Amino acid sequence: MVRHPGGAEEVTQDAFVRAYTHLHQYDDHRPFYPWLASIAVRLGQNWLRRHGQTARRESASLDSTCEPSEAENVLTSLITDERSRRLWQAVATLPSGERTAVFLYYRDDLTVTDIARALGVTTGTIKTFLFRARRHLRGRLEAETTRHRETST
Amino acid sequence: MTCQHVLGLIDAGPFVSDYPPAHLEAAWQHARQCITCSPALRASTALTAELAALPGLAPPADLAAAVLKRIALVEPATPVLDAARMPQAGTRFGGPDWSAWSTVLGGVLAGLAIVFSAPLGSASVGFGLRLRGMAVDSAMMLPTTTGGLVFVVGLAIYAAGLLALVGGEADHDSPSHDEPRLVAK
Repeated sequence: MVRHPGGAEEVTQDAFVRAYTHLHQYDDHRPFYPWLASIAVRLGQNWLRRHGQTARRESASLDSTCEPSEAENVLTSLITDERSRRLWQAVATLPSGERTAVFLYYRDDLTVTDIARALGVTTGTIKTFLFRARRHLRGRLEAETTRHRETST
Repeated sequence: MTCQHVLGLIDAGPFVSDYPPAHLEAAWQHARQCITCSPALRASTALTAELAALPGLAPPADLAAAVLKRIALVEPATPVLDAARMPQAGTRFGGPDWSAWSTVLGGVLAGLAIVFSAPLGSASVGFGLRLRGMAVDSAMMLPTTTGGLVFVVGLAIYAAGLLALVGGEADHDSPSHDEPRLVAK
């Protein structure tokens, strides 16, 4: 989310420390991971605001896009499957909110309600994020498939 | 059923359940046959599977140690507890809560001894109290008889229970050198 390795590490540690010091606020009738994720998302947004990347690259809101960051390029190099790598690169270009929603929904198997709680938005917003993300990614995949078909013939 | 509508349903992914099944079936029928929508349906199906298979980043090896170190800085005075040495659930200070029961039992025994002991002639021992000019005979006990024995035993049990209660309270409130500590692993 913060698109910076050092920042990601800092935010991750902050999230665990904050969760520990605010454990008394956790409602144990609800699943733990979405609560932890909501802390991490807020801290990530605060980190972006503090480090002045709002104007240049990505705002603290969930609607901006930018090129893949250094962290994502590192991970990209680890993905050996070509198609998966392209998908990862496509996901990396999504706006922050859509990208976060995609990861939390498809990779972490959170429900729309839990994601909405974590991001502090409504379930309708999450569905919109996922809709836009799927449309964007589908378009890129279709374009890739068409290009591949054309180059192979 | 337009392509635009069908593509919208395709991109909605799992969130099309609000539509009637017949409507969705018609949409998918169109998508399977349409030259525009068919590739989109295939791409969307593949996309769902590939998104679920996106890899996650492994945490840094020193994440746990770094977090624990920061927690120690934030709350250095927090007494840490060893789960293995925590008092068991249902107990007060790590052992069965017999002190309260022994206090009650001891008191009951002593009381019964007083109630059922009968004053017997010269062997009895009694003591009277002078209260506001009135002589009040208190309990008449037989120190060498069963009643006296029960009375003494009851008092002893009662006293033991009281001492255990008081001693346990003191231990609970004061720091101990043997206080268990959690060691970060």
